[in-house]
Amino acid sequence: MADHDFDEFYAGNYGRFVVQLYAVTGSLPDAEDAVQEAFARASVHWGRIRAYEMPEAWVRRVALNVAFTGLRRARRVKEVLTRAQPPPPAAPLPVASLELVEALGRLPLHFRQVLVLYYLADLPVERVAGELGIAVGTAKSRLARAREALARQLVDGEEEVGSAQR
Amino acid sequence: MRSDDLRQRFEALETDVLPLTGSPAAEAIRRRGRRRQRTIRAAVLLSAMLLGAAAVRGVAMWSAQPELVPVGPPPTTRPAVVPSTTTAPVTSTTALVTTSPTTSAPPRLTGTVVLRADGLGVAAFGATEGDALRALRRRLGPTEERGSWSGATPFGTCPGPVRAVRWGRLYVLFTSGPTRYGPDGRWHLFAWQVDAVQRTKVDPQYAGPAPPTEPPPLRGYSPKTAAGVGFGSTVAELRAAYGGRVRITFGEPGMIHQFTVRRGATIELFGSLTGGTQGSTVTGLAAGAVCGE
Repeated sequence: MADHDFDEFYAGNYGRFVVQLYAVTGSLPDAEDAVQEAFARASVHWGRIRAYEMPEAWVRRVALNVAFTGLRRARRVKEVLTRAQPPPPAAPLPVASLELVEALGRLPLHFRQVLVLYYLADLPVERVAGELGIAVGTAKSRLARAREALARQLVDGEEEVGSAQR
Repeated sequence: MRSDDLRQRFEALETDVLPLTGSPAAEAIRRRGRRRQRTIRAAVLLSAMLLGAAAVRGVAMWSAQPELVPVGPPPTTRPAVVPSTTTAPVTSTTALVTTSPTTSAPPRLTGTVVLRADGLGVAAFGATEGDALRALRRRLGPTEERGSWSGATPFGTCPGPVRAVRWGRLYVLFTSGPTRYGPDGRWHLFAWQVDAVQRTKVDPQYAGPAPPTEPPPLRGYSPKTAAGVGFGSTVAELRAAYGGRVRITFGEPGMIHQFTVRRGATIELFGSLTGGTQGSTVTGLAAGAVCGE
C-alpha cells in the first residue's frame, strides 16, 4: 500500500520537480540526479513523509539541498577530472527556454528559488514563504525584486542578440 | 515585462523540458534509497563499535585522571553547526572517549549563568579550561556529565580533540585547537550549546542491524539569554527579543528549521526549531565556534 502510494507520488511529481530544479541549477543532469536522490530518501521515510501536509515540499527542499551541497562537491571533483574536456552540451531546448534558464542562472539563488516556486511550482505567495521559511511580506518583496531582475536579464539578453544580429 | 508574460515563459519552459525528463522506475529509486540507508547504517555500526572499544579505554583514562588535562593535536575551527533534535551519528574513525557522570547526587545549583554571544558571563569564550570550569562550578555546582573526543563528536565533526561538560541541558565545550577565541595548544572555552537530547549518550554495546536508539531527552537546568530566550521559547518570543536580526531557514543538517541571530555579518546565536511558525519552539541553541557536521 505504502509502495503503491509512493509510486503514484513519484510518477506524478518527478518530471515537474526536474523542471523546477533545472530552472534553479541550470543543469538538467544535476537536476535529475538531485530529484532522484530526494525521491530515494523519501522512499526510505515514506511512512512518515506521506503523512505530511505537503510531502512534495519535503522532496523539493531535499532536492534543492542535494543540488547545492552534494552535487557541488561532486561537480568540483568532476571539474578537476575533466578540466581538459569541453563542457557538456546544453539541453536541446528552444531558444526562448534556453534564454530563460540562462537569465535565471545570472540571478542570485534566493531570487531563482522564489521565482521557480511561484511560477513553476505554481504556489501562492503564502506557500512560497512557508517553503522558504520567510515572512509573507519578505516573500512578496523578494518576488517583486526577482521578477524585475529576471525581466532585466531577459531584455538585456534580447538586446545582446539584436546587436549581434545587426 | 509583465508577470503574465513571465508566467507564459515559465510554462513554455515546463512544456519544453518535461519530454526530456525520463524517470527511472520507482523500484530503482526505492533500491537507491535502501542502498543509501544500508550505507548509513554500516557507518553507524562501525562508529558504535569504535565507540564501544574506545569507551572501555576512556573510562579507565577518566578514572585515573580526575581533572581535565589537555592532550592531542589541534582542531581547526568551523563555525556554525546547528544543534538539532535529531541524533547526530558519530562517524569518527579516530579515537573517541565518552564518560558518564560518576556523581550519583543531583547537582547542587547555587546560581545560574546567562547565555551570551561571547560566552557565559562568568566565563567568556577564550577563558582557559581550568578558569572557566572553576567559575562555572562555583555558580552551577558539580557537572552532571563530561566527555572527551577526537575527530567526530556528538556536536559535529571536529578536526581535533573536544571536551564537554554538562549541567542539565547546557553543554560547555572546550578545545585545545586554534579557534578565534584561543591559540593552538591551550584548552579554552570555545562554545556553549543548550540541547534537547543527551548527545553524549551513545550506547557502546550497540551491535544490531537497526540504528542505535535515540539518545534520551535532556531535562533539568536550562539557562536563557539576557533577553529571556532559551529552550522552549517560541519563534514569536525569539522575534520579540531580537527583531529583524532573526533569520529562520529550513534544510541540512537534519532537514529541520534553524535560526540565526546576527549582528551585521556575525552570527551571535544559532539553533534549531520545531518548525517555522510563530508558535514553533526552540529545541536547541548555541554560540561560539562550534564544529561542523
